[in-house]
Amino acid sequence: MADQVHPIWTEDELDTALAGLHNDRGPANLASARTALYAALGAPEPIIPKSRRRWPHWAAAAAVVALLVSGALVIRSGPTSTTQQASAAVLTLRKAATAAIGERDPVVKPGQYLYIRQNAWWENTIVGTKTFDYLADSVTETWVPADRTGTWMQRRSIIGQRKWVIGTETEAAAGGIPPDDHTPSELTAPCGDFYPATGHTASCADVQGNWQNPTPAWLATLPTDPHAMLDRLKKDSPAFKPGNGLGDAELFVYVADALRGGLVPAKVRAVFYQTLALLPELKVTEQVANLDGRTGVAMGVDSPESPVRQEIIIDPVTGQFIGERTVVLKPIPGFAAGAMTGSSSVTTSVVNSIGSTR
Amino acid sequence: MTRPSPEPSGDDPPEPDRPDLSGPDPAMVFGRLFDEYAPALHRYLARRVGTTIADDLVADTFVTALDHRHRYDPARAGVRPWLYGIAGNLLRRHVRDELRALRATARLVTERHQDGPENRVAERLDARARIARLAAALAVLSPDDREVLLLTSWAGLSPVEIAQALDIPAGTVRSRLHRVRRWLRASATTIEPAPALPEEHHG
Repeated sequence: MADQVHPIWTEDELDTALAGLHNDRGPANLASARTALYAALGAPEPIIPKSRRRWPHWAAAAAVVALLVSGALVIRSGPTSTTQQASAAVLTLRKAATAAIGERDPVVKPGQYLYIRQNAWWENTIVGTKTFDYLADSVTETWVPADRTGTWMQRRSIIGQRKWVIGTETEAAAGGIPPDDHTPSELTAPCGDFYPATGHTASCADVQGNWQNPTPAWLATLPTDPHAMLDRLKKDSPAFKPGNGLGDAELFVYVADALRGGLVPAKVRAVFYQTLALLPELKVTEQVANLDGRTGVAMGVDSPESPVRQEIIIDPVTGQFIGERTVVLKPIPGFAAGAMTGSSSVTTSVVNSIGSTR
Repeated sequence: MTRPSPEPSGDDPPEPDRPDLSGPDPAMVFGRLFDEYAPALHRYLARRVGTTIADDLVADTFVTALDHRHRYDPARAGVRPWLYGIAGNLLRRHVRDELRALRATARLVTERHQDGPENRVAERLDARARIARLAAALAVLSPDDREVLLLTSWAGLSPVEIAQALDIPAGTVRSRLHRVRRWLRASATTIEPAPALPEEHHG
């Protein structure tokens, strides 16, 4: 390389050319890479990483594990149905499905926004030379424009104080763990594509829909028959893949993933509930409060691989998805059997401007 | 509840992520690492060797990182540059694929512009021709120079992070980057695309 060279391009021209070169690569197939990683991990509790990966990481301090958790560590709820009582679960779900069919989705007029507020207790585990574990209360608010191709906004905040499960605030400070950042973080993006795969594009058609990101286009591809929906779930989820299979618990988690964002229309929710009623191991618990105190029916599927059971909570009268919780089945550090490691609530309403809450 | 007033998130880089990877439950930390870093790593690798190979390289990077987790020293490097360093080593097996892609892009220029000094100006104003010229120039860079340039430009790593990824001094990264950029600005317009590799001939 000669030293006596005379630049012809400006720095900007070089940067522009670099930015444009090979920037049109197709979408990633990260699912198989993730499967390979968990297979290599031989993860003993795959359901935890699978649900964890869908939780946000904005609170990450070091190695942070995000599990949905509850401030109250004891479940106060009615009896849980057993497999033998599955008919009760089926009845409950059919009732909820019927209610959902009759429910009208919120009408968002041009210029208005669907406002979805999720309040959740999270567990943060910091694994280092010493293990710390605490609960943090977070709020995630999303504004969805009437025209879905418009600009969305998501605001995330950590509120309140940490509740320590393992360790203390003093020990954590001594260990160099920073306090929670209570500054809200905001993301805006067209099409709700807050973490674009290949940079923002002009078309929402480029946004990949799936169970974890149920776009309208993707929702339109779902079958309306519960048995066909079950087949679709089995096809899409890694439930029955060697080394990464949780069986029906995984199918359940996929449905919970889709419901979590509050953007599944009533008629699709109805099919989801009918589909869950087909799972023979579904456990239903009546009279469960979500994090806001609203009462509903919780349901979930045990996995022999996992010490916890993830549950969704639905309002049996309206068929609305109102939150989630995670119940400890076998003792884990900091949590006794029967405790909750997580609780959340989800509400939806229509507002007149982005950023407003009423 | 009093809601804090919204503030723009800004572009400040977050604190370097330096987890302890040698803990008792690697599934916890690696699950998080995958979610945080796999999408961007894939974009970077796909730009270098195409989506299909990138799919495999992302898997190989994380599985290799898992196998070598006890070698990771949080005091020495952030986990992101460490992952890119592993990916870079794996990428070396695919240099031929990378060069093939660059040369294919480079040949676009000859389809649009006949060679000749008078056409250099037109090329300079033509973004697509510039990209083709750049591709031709990248194909003749040394692998080390290409790595530093693209880790900067495509992966968005800082010189300090690249130094951690490649295990070389940060000063070396900066001087190499300066030299490569200056050479590209001067020479990219005069580099001709290399002929197609033999197996690419058709008919």
